[in-house]
Amino acid sequence: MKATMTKNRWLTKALTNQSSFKSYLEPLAQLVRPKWQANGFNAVVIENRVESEQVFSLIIRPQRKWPGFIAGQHLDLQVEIAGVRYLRTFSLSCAPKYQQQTGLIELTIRQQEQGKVTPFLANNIAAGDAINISAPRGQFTLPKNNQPLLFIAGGSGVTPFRSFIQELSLSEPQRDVHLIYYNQATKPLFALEWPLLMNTMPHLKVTMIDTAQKGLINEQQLLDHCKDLEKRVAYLCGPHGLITTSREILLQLGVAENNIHHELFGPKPIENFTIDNDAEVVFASSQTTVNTEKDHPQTLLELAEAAELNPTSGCRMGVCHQCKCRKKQGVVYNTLTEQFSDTGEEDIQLCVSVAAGDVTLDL
Amino acid sequence: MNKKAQINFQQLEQDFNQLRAETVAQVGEKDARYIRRVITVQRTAELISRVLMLLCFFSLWFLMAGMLLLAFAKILENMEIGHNVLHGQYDWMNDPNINSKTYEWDIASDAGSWKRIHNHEHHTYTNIIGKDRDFGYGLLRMSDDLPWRRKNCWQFLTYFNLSLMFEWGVAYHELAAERVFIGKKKKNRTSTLSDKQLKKMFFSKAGRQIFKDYLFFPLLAGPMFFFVLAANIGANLLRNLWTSTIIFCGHFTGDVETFTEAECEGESKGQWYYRQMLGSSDLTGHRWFHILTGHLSCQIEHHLFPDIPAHRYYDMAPQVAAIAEKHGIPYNTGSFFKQYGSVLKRIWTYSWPTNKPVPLKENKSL
Repeated sequence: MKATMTKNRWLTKALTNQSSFKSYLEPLAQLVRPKWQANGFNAVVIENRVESEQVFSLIIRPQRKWPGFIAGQHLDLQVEIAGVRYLRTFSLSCAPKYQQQTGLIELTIRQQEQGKVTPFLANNIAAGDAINISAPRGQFTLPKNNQPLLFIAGGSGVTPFRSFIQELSLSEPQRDVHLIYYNQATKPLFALEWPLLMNTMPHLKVTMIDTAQKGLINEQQLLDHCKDLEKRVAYLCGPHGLITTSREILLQLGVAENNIHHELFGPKPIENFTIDNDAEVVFASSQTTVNTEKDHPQTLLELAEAAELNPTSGCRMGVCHQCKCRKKQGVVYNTLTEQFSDTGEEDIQLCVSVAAGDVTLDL
Repeated sequence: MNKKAQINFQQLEQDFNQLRAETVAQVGEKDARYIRRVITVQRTAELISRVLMLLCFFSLWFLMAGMLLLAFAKILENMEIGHNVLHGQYDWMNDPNINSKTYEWDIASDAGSWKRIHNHEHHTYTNIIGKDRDFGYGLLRMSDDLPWRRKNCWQFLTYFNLSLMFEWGVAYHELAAERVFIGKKKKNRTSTLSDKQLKKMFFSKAGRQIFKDYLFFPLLAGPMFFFVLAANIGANLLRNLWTSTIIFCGHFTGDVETFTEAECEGESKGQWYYRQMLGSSDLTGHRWFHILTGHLSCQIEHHLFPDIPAHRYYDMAPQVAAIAEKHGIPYNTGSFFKQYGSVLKRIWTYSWPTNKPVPLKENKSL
């Protein structure tokens, strides 16, 4: 089997010089279906629905062979803006059962103020548009038992919980679930849906907290709202600050570490990371050298882009591995794993790597 | 002609940087659409040519048409797509199939090997004798910087053979430079690749190309094996002749100048731009002609801005010529026949011992 695979790949390469026959034929296929792509999965937008001032949902019909997903997973969505392909990762906000019945999936997305992709999606993508998506991915999924659950969401981090709760309402309506949903002076998302879900799920409790009035998450507040939290399996999703704080509190309150799961939205902030000295980053192939400033850490991807090197990039948060690049030497700090690299030659992800000293890259 | 000392290199640098910035700011959707359209035309032509060749059962005219169409497809692929994509001109599109890191072209030379020798060495050290191995390819004496040898007597024949076998010359270029098969290893070797790796890459790519053109498609034709084989050889030869001829017109016309290492030591960006201008020459012609040369007909513009999408050179050329005129730098351009005539003359001239310096050299004092 493996031998045939390698042989096929060799034949493809010999005949087309491309990675696959589909890639070779992609431009021709696009004559008939303009946005069709050989890689990933093709999909059509059914509706672009406004959820709030900054948040919208894309209702999408993936091509039939899209593999389906587990509640809590995310996918990469690709769009082309002014000739440039961009890839961004979004959580699926609907139940897998919904997809099985209708063939549709939903992505709920917050517009980033300075962003390039999310405002484009909000304003330029409409029903009937063709887009490209990846297979679903992610380990942020429910355990295969019936333990009571605690969901802590921040802002648009509520999207995977909508998926969880919708799915549970259809498969396990008796499940004990408590959702604590933090918002800062904004209207909670899916406000009309929560009461309906609570009707079908007698043991579902939804607590809305406006941090502008009640303050950021703290121990007392959590205990007030959820008295039996140490018995629950906790799922956290939202901005970095909310996740780290709530994680610390839960650990202090006696929730076991392996009962806390989290999903981070957006890259981890790198402001907290400092290096001792300014350093030099050498892009060997393009013979470019740039200096990093110790007070203003930047990812290697940002540095390469500022130097106009056009590195390949994707999700910009360490998920898709498109920006993988060979490091020749030097130590980099990975903001995702919070680990320093080895000094020698290895592949690194540019979007989550910060130079921790002089670094040479094969770029 | 201006003496180099009189040129304001700072101003020259500014002028070219500004032209570059203005063009880069326009690059976007139009360029993505353009290169995808060219790829579509190329793939269509290639597929039809393969089918036409197989139809040679009915008439040998199909074979002839197929051969010409395949030559066209290969020329388009090598020049306007492969060469330009491998220069990273379309990397900004973030499309994995149109990216210098992953692209592989329909030619005997391995893309990685070509990028190492051509993109880095030839484009950085353009026409510096001893540094730019593309100058004469180690086979031809194209200036009197090199001492005359007996073999130069028949270099016209060598040139003709090189043109016919051009893709193999390009494929073997790095291996020859690194003395992989023959010759004594050079002391100041900088390649990070071992001979074994270089050999493996060479044979792997060459093997795939030979398999495709000289085995797979001829075999598909069954009893017409030799006819299709001949048509494939013909298409490759036509492509070789075309690419070689265009490239020689870009660097070896009569007025193109050479430089010494000492001259270029510590040169500024402005001086680098100046050297690129003197080391290259353009061709005039219809738009379709430019596309078939991969816009290497705008060799000067390509050498000034190697990573700008090549179809933009056409519009940049008048502006580059204006900047050249403003600074009193020669802008070497002309029709194909004029330029190619001067290439042939140059090959002939340096076939023989020259004891008088070529007139242009006197302008090269730094």
